[in-house]
Amino acid sequence: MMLKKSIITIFLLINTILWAQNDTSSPYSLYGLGLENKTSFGGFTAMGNTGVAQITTFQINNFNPANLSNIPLNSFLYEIGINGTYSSIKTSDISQNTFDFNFSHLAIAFPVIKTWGMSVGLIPYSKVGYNIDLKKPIEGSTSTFNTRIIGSGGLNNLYWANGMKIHEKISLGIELSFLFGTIDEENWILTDPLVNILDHNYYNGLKFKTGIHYTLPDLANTKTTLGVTFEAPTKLKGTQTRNSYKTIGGYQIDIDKDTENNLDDFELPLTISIGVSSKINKNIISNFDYKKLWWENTNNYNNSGNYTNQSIYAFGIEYKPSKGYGFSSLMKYRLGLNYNTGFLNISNQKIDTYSISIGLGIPMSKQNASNLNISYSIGKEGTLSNSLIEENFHKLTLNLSFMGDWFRKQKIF
Amino acid sequence: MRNSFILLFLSFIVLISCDDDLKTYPVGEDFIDSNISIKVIDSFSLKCGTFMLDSIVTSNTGRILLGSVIDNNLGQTTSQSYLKLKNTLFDIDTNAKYDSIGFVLNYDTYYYGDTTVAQTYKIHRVRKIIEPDEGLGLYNTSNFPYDSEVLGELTFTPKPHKTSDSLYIPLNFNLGEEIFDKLKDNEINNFDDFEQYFNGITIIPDTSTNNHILGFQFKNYTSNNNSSMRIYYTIPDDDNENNDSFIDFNIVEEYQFNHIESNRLNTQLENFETSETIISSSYTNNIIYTQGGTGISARVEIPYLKNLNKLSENGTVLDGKLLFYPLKGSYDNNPLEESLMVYVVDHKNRIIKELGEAVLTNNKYDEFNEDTYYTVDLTLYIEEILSATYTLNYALMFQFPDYKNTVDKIFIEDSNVEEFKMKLQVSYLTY
Repeated sequence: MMLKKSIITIFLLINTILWAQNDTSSPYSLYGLGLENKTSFGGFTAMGNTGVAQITTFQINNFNPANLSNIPLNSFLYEIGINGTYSSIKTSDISQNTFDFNFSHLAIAFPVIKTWGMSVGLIPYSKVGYNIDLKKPIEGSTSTFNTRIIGSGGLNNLYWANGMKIHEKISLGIELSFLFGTIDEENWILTDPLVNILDHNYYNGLKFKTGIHYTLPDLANTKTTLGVTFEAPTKLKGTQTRNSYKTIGGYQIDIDKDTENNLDDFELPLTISIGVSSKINKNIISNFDYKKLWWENTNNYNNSGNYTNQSIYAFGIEYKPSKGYGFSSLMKYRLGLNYNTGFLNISNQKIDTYSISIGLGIPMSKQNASNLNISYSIGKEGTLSNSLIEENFHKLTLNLSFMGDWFRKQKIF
Repeated sequence: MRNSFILLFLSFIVLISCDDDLKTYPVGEDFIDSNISIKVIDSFSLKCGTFMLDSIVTSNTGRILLGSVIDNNLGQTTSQSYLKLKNTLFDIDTNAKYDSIGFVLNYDTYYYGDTTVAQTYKIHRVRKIIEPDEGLGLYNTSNFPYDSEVLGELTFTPKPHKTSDSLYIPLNFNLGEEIFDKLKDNEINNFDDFEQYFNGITIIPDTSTNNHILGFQFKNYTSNNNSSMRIYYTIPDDDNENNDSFIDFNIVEEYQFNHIESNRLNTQLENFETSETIISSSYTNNIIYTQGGTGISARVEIPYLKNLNKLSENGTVLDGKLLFYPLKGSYDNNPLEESLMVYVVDHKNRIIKELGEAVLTNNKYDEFNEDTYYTVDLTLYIEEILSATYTLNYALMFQFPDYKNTVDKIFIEDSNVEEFKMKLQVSYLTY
């Protein structure tokens, strides 16, 4: 019964992730494949999106597949998350506030044998949502015309990950991702006649990720793990279906009718993440992560901006009080910082992001294996200088990391 | 418990998703990589020429056009009018006494040419029933035989500015008497009898000088301000002094037509052999001509329009308009029409359809500088040419909206003089 219900629920959620109108409204999402999904699993979001080296036993670690080797036998882990972002977006002339809501992920993980864990999940990979008015001169005349450009859609990541313990202190992981999705770009050329061009840009491709966890010998009550992941460069194939029409004298005249075009492949760069995670006195976990994406080695091209190598520096800390009395002593308190250089250089200006986050992990069972994680982050992306856009955001993330036990068929709640 | 949590999540999503709406950000070109661009192309070559319509239906226009004008470029234009008449009264008092007969021509204020010059109209009796050979119309080229004898004539200097003013042309006394007697003696009892007996009249202007062409109005019924033939008579009475009466012979609207002749001997437009003949603007001082009444029509062809299809794979025409200038100095005496009609004609100059209006723009900057030109929207025309699977040998023809009953003229510049160049402007979108 339980199994059946769970499967139905999971299908429902997958459906929602794939087909729900995922609202993102950031002008920056027009670059590349859109805004990267920056929400991670469990408590990692509140810890500044760190966790490459962190070992978690009851929480799926989406940063490093090697961690899957740590799932205890007879357990079954679920992970679902949602987030809402309140942004104020400013240009030098105007300022507007938006609220976006997104499903962030759905994943499951389970052990195959004691030293081998497996995970399957669906995570939004990127989100596109923008609504931009562009004014351009009409060549050969003194007038101008406006185009309204509306982008929507995004890519999904369906992954299958495996983690294996090959040594008491060493785990290896491999993750295969299938990235797929449609980015729509609609252009309304606000002239007389009115022209509408709607491009469905479908991308898909595979991505490989490998990871390692290496645990150092304990030192002064501190258990330190090193983690590294490596993502090979890959290409996403793109195809475009274009429909366009113009409206002359009340008549709609088709220009393109389901015209198929090839899009340039979108290249994902070589990506390496390095992390250090220390557990001090069983109360404190601290993570340092560094991630680099070599975008400059890709052939991705954009007229209005250059792709530059992207670095992400992140720090996160989690505090869990020693056994005490009261509910508050069961909670986990988290804090994180993140700086992301971004991958774009527009008007000689890097579009970078700073954020700070705090969060709570609220236990939902006595074993402390299921948690409701809440995190709140504030941050700033972009800049007002050089006619660009600055986005200040407040993001609230809610996710459930919980443990089921299909194999024991025993209720834990 | 677990599932209720998930359901709670889902309802949260549904609630939140709904109240969102995307905002628009105006940004510069630096921000976005847009391939969309629009350019105005105006380097099309245009083939300009003048041709002459075969014939124009000039019957049933409600206007009698009379006169003769001479133009250096268009030659002599003469309009003569044929009128079928219809009496309104068949019973006349047996005591009635015939007085006189004459023709009233009532101005309708249309005039063309120099109205300070005197003109002579002569009226002749038509000797054939005025009706079309076939179909419904009578043409500017139609003719009917008439007596060489002049029934009446008038030399006058016109004042064609009020519809209450008219001309009176006395007619032959004996003719009036004959008609009067036939009516009185009941020899003419209906309109058919009258038409068989009296086929109609034609009014012929003097063509020996350059003067003017005037318009006169008429109605099917007796009223004021009407042109008609009129017989005056009196009914003798003992005590009444005011006993003058008249019978109106109204003009039958359907069969009234103007015979308009164009004599272009020794002009550049002399040689229209057929209606297919096009005289290129290069033979006519880079000017093309339109004249109402005669059917002389300016014609513009855009020979390479279809090349727009080859311009870009991702492109489309947004709109197109043709801009042309009337020749400066050619419209000082008669003001420019606010609009001209534009027709689509084929390679044999047959009218395919009416396209629309070319509208006059007159920007006066100061006493000496003004910009006067016509524009016509060709968006749909271009669309038709470009989307046709075969090549359409179409061209544009310009005429006056009321070319069937006016003799106005317009001289249009071709693409020769940069400042007054006729040009096609097409907005082309690439994306």
